Amino acid sequence: MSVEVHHVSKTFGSYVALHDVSLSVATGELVALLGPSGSGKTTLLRIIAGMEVPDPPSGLVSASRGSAGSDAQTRSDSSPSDEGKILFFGEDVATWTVSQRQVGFVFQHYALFKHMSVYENIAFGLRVRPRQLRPSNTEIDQRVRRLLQLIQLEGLGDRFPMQLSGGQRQRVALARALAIEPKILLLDEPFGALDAKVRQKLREWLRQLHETMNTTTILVTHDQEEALEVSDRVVVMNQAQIEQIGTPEEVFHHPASEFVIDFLGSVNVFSGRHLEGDVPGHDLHGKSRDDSKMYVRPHELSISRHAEDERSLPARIQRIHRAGAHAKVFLQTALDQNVRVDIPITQCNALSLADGEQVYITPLNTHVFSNDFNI
Amino acid sequence: MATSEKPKKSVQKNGLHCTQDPVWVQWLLIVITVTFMTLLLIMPLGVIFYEALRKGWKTYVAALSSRNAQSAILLSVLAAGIAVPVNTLFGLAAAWATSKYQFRGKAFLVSILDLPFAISPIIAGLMLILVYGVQGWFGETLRTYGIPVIFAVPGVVLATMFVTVPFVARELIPLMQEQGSEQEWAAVSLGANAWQTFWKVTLPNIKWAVLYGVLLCSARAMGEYGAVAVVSSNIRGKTNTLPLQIDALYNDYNAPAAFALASLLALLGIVTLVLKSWLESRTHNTVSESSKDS
Repeated sequence: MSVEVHHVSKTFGSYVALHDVSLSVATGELVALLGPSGSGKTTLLRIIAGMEVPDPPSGLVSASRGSAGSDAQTRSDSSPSDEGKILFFGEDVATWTVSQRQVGFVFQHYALFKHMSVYENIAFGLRVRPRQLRPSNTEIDQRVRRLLQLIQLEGLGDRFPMQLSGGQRQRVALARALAIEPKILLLDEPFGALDAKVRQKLREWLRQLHETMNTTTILVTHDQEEALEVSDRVVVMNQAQIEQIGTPEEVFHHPASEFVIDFLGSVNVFSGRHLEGDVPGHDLHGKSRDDSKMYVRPHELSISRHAEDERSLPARIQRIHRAGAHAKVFLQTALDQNVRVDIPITQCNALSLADGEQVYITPLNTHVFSNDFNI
Repeated sequence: MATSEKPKKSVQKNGLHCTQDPVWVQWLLIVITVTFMTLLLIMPLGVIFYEALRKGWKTYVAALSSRNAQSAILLSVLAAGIAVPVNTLFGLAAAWATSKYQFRGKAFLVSILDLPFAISPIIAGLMLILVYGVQGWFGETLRTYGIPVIFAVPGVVLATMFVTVPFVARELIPLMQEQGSEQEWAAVSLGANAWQTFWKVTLPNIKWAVLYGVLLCSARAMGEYGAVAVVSSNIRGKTNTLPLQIDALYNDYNAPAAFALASLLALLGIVTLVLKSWLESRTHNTVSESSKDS
């Protein structure tokens, strides 16, 4: 394991930023910490980097709070004495300073040294080394040139950060972090300040880079698409805790909690009453209480002119968005529930659906979570 | 980034656009401004140089090179020479502490920093007498060790330091708070130690603001009258600074000599003004750069 986090908590005054979070990241893995702002993901990253100090062990082992789906979180079989520990390659780094940890850290707003050229920015980490560890000038030059090549900014070495676009700046920030050849690369919302198109490109580039550089990478993001696309595993965080850890497929197709399914893309929510009344006989036997909810993703519903089976639900088409590979069909059920269904555009055309039409929607797959008992 | 620039420009444009006052109002306001500035600023400034040179160059040079004048200039330079570096170091420390660390009473500390601006310099002088004077808290101790403070050169230096404490800190605190500490964190994560981080990252980012603060601080240190007048014994050639010497000469009806020295201070003020507007453009550039950067 490259990075291990054992039962780490962090409070700022009375604000709980992290509550008993544990995580291990394998060597060479790219892990995304995904969550809304305030979920604690950046705090966790800064604690790993050494920029924040975790709360000292409280002495009491807090009973692992079993919110739905936190079984992944308590998987690590660490003893209570591990509380609040961070390990790099098995070594406790609690007393290591930020410099000693030698992690590459990339900031959301780049944090480039604006009075230095791109070249000097990248060379910084090598130039500040103590004399006996510092590479020779020719070595530094070679390494900087190689990195400039890697970030596809050859020839722009003597530009200043101000003269670069946002995407270019972020690539320089990455090159600067990679110059010290870190074994662990930490990225704090690296593409958050960029526009969608550049973001998409850099995302793919980052994935390639990660594979060529052979680092262990932890990426913080609030963009679910980014997390699902780029990472080996996704850590979904909410309210200072980890909701679920899993591969992108796992968290998307088998979400462990209402929060996870809601956060990872659009979802239709059907209340318990709806289920019992109008969708009889779907596989909710016994579990269908009044307060339980059924979650169905837009692409997990089909549209037909006639009821396909006993689970089909009549609904009226309100609006159809046809721009894209999938048509987004917005419908309203008899109980005034708004539903979105995504179907392939070809299917939409074949059915020749029109606004105001009465059709049937049938769930192909459903997700049910019993409501949190601690509410 | 790009969006943060745009609103600024449009505000400026709107500002120009809004001046749709009648022509006579525009003229009236311009005339009032010019008359006021001429009567209150430009004419008196001109008079200083006119009076200084009225009796010819020889008198002017003689007045400047008299022993007492030389001593006054030296003392002013000495007071500024101690107060400015000390206050610069203090300003750097205070700005660093208040912008990079969180601690209790920070807001209070920042607001009390303006005390020397808020109170009259005379009060500042009196406060120094109460603390360091013969009857003051430290008076007894200082006297037993034979260190004269009040009515001596150390008192002059202390008073100068007191009134010029805020200048550098005041320039740096808002700038450093705006810049945050991300660049420092980046430097540290790349392996830089605290010393390297300060010299290679922090200082280059704030150097124009430091210079600006130093300039204002020096100008004030050289020109301070009130606080120094209280703690100085006004002994010519010993504890008179430049402004005190000017006052003494003027009270002796020695106008040419008084104005000759005054012209020195006025010249210093003009140089300060020119440097200040140049530095201002530099500091404003760095501020807008940093805001664009984030």
